[in-house]
Amino acid sequence: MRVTDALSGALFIAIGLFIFQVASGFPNPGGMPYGASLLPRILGAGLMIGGGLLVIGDIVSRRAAGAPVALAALEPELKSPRGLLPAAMVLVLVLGHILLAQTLGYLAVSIIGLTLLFLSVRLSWSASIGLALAGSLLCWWLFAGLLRVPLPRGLLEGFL
Amino acid sequence: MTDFTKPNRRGLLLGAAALGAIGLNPARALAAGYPDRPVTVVVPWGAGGGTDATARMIAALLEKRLGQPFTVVNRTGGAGVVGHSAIASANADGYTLGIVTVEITMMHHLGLTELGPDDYTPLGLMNADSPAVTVSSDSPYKDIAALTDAIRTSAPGTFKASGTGQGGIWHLALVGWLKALGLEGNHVTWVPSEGSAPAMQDLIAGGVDIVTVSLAETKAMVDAGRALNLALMGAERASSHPDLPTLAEAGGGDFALATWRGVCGPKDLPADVAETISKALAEIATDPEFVDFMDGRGFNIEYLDPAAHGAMMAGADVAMGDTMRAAGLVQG
Amino acid sequence: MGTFDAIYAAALLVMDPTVLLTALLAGMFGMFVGAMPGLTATMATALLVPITFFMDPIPALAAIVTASGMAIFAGDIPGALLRIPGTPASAAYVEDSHRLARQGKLNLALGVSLVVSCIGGLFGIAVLFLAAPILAEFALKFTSYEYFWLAALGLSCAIFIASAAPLKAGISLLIGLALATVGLDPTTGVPRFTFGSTNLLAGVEFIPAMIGLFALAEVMRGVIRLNSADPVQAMPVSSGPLFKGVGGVIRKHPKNILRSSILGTLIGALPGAGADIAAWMAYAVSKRFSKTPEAYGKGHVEGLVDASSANNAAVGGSWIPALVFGIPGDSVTAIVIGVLYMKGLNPGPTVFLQNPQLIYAVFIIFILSTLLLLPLGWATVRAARQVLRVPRRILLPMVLSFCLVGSFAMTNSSFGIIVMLALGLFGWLLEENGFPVAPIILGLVLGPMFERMFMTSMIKSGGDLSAFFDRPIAAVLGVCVLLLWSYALISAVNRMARKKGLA
Repeated sequence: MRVTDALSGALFIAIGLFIFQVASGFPNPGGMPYGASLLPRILGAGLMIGGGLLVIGDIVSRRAAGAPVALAALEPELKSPRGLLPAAMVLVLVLGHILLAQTLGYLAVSIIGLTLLFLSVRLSWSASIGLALAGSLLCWWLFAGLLRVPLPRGLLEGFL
Repeated sequence: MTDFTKPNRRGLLLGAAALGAIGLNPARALAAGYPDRPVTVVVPWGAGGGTDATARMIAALLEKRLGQPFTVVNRTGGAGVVGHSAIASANADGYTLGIVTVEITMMHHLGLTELGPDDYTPLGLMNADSPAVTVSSDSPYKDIAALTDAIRTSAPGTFKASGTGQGGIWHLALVGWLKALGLEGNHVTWVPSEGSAPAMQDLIAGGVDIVTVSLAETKAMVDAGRALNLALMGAERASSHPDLPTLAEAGGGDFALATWRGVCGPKDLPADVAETISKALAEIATDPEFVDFMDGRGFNIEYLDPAAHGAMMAGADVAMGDTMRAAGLVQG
Repeated sequence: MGTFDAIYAAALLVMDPTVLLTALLAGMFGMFVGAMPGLTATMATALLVPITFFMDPIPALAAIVTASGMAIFAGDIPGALLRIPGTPASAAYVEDSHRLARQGKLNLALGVSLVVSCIGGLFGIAVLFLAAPILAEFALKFTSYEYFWLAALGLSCAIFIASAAPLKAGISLLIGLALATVGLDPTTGVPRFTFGSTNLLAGVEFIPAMIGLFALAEVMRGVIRLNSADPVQAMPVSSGPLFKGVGGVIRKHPKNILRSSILGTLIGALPGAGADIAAWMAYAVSKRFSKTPEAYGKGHVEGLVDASSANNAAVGGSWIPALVFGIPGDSVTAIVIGVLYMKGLNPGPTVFLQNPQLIYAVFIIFILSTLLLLPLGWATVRAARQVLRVPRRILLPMVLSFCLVGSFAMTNSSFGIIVMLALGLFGWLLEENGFPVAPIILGLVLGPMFERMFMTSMIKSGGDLSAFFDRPIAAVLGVCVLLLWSYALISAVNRMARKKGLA
C-alpha cells in the first residue's frame, strides 16, 4: 500500500506518542533521574519530530505541485484476485505455522499450506502437492534431522 | 488409538535392540520403556555460556547411557524467564527436560514470573559455584581485610562493582556481603553489565574496582596476572583453588552464596521416567569424562540426589527472598 | 622451544589427514548452514560443540574455525541471489550485491566478495599472528565510555549510507532502536513494552526480524506479481567462470581493501563489537571517500569490496582478545573459549609461552581454512546459482518455507515466526513508501549496546556527562562523533538553504 508522506508522517507521530506515553510509566530504580524510560522517550520524541517533518514536507511540496494526490493507494496487483490470492495464501501459511503447528505438527501445516500457496500461483494440482511434499520433507530432514531444530511433531508425536 | 500402540512397540523393540547392541543394560530400558524417541533439553541461557556447555556435556553423556538423542535447545532471554517457562510448561512425559539455574529462586521475587522451584520435578543437582571477590592487579588492595576496611571507611558510592545485570545473582552476592559487613546494600555502586566477560574487561580497564563472579569466570585474567582473587564467598574453599580463603576465614565478613545448575523436568514427571534420568545423572556426576570437563572449565561439581535437590531449591528460594528484600530489590 | 621449532611442530600437528578431513567436512557443513537464510555462524559452531568434546584439540579447533569462517562468507550468497542477507554484517551491502546480480553480474558480485573475504581474512590472521598481545592491550583500554562512542559512531553510519531520503532513513533507524528496547532491560531490570508476554521479555531477536524485513517482504512483493500478465523480469542466469573480472576489481581498489582490512581487524579486536559494526563502518567510510558516492546502493562493487574485506578481517580480530585474555569477541569465540578450556588450553598470555605449538597450530588452521574458502566457496556458489533456473512461482514458496523454519530455529519457538511476520508486513509497507529497511537492522543490532553503555557510564560517573570525555580514547572517539554529527547537520542545512535559493 502506498500512502502519502503526510499520512505516514501522522502514523509515526502516533507511534512516537504511544512509545513516549508507555515509556513514561517505567520506574526509575534507585531514584535516579534517568533510567529505563530515557532512551524510549527520546526515541518517541524523535519519531514525533521525524513524522512532523514528513507531514510539513509533504504539504509544502503538494502546494508547489498544485495537483491533488490521493492519500493512499493500493498496489494495482492487490486490487485483483490474481495478486490478492497468493498474498493471502502466504499469510495463511505463516499464520498456520504460528497457530496450528503445535497441535497438527510442522509437516501437516507445511504440506497443506504450501499446496495452497502453489495452487494460488497457478501450478497444477499434482505439481502443487508433489512440490509441497518434497519441500516440507526436505525442510524437516535438514532442520529437524540434521540441525536438530525442535520443529513441532504434533500429530506425529510418538512416531518420529 | 490402537493404531498408535503398534509402531510404538516396534520402536521400543528397535530401541532395546539398539541399546543391547551398544552394550547397555537392555533389561532396565525395557522395564522403563523410556526413552524411545529423542529428548529435548532446554537451556535458559545462550550458546557458548557455562550453563550451555554443562548442558551439552550432560546431554551427550545421557545420550550415551540411554541410547536416544538428547538435543540441547537454547531458549534465551528475559534473564532466564523464557527458558524456565518453557521447561515448566512442557508436557510432563519426560521428553522435555531442562537445566534449572539459581535464577528460578530469584525471578518470581522480582515479579517477572509466577514460576518458582515448585513447578519442576528435580532430577539431580550437578554443579554449584561460589563467587570470588576479585580486584585488578593494579588495585592497592592485596587482601580482603584491606579491601573490607577501605570499603567500611569510604563514603557510599566511592567503590564500584560489576559482574552481571541489575538484580542478577552476582549483584546479590555483593549486596549480601555488604549487609554482612553491616553496610547498606548500595554502599558500593553496582554497575550492571551484560555478563561476567564485559565486567572483567571493565575491571582491567579501570572502569570498576571490584568484580564478584565465579572463579571459572575470573580464571583467564587471574592466570594472565591481570586480576587477583581476594576471597571466596563460599562456606568452604573451592577444590580448584585450595589456596583461596573464604570470606569468613580471611576476616572479610561472614557470608556465603552459590550459583547452581540442576537437571529438572516439568512438574509431576512420571516416577519411572524421573528414576531413569536421576540414576543416569548420579552416574554422570562421577563419570571421568564429566569430571574432566568440569575441572577443565573450572566448575565445581556438587551432586545432590532428587530429594536433596528439591529441598535445596525450596530452602534457597526462601533465603533468596530474604536477601532480595533486604537489598531493596523486591518491588512492592 | 624456539619460534621456528614451534611453527614446525604446529605444522606437523595440522598436516594430519584426520585434521584436514575434519576441516573439509566442517567447511562443507558451515557453507550449508551459512547459505540457509536465517541460520548463523553461531548456530553452526554451537552444533559442533558436542562433537568436539570427544575430539583431540587440533581437529576440534580446525572444525570450529573452518565451519564458522565458511558460514560467514556463505551468508553473502542468499543476499546476492534473493536479497536476503545471511548476517547483519551482509545487510550493509545486500542492496549492492543483489542489484549486481539483477544486472547479470552475480558472478562478479560473489566472486569479488569471495576473494576479498579471503584477503581480509588473511590480513586479520597476519595481525593476529604478529601483534595479538599489543592489540589485546589496546582492546582492554575500552570501558563503557569508549564503547558508547563506538556504538554512536556505528549508528551514525546510517546517515552516511542513506542516499536518497535521509529523513526516512533516520525514521527507520529510530524504529530499529525502539524495537531494540523491547524486553527486559538488563541495566535496570525493568521489563519494557512486554505487555505481560513472556516471549516479549526476551526482546526482538534480530535474525527473525531480518528474515521478515528482507525475505518475507521480498516474497510478498514477488507473489502478488506472479499471476500478472507481464511478470517481473526473471533474474538473468549467470554462467561462466566465477572469478572472471574479479582480478580487475581488486587491482582497481587495493587501497579500499587495505583500509577496510585494518578497520575490520581493529573493530573485531574489541570484544562485543565485531564483524557487524565493521562491515557497516567500512561501507560508510568507503562511500564517504569514493569518487562515485552516488552509485552506492545501486549495484556498485566498491562498497562490496570494502564491507566484505572488513567483515572477514574482523573474524581474525575477534580471536585476539579471546586467545590473549579469554574475553569472547562474539558468540563464536565464546564457544571457542569453552572448547579451549576443555582441552586444557587455557586462554591467556601464558598460552603463548606454555603451548606455543598449539597456538601456532591455530594460526595455521586459520590460514588453511581461509584458503579452503576459495574452492569451497566456488563450489557452493556454482551450486547455489542453479537456484536462478528455478521458476519464481516454485522458488518463492520454497524460500518462504526456509524462512519459516529459519525463524523458528532462532528462538526454538513459534515466537520467531511471529516476529518475522510482523516485521515482514511492516517492512513491506515501509519499502513501498520509500523507507529503507537496512537502518532498522543497524538500530536493532547496535541499540542495546548504545543504551547499555550510556546507562552504565552514567551510573559510574554519577550522572556527570563530562566523564564521557575524561579518558583519552573516549575523548578522541567522542570528538569524532560530534564532528561527524555537526558535519551532517551543516550539510543538511546547506542543502535546504540551496533548495530555498533555487525556489
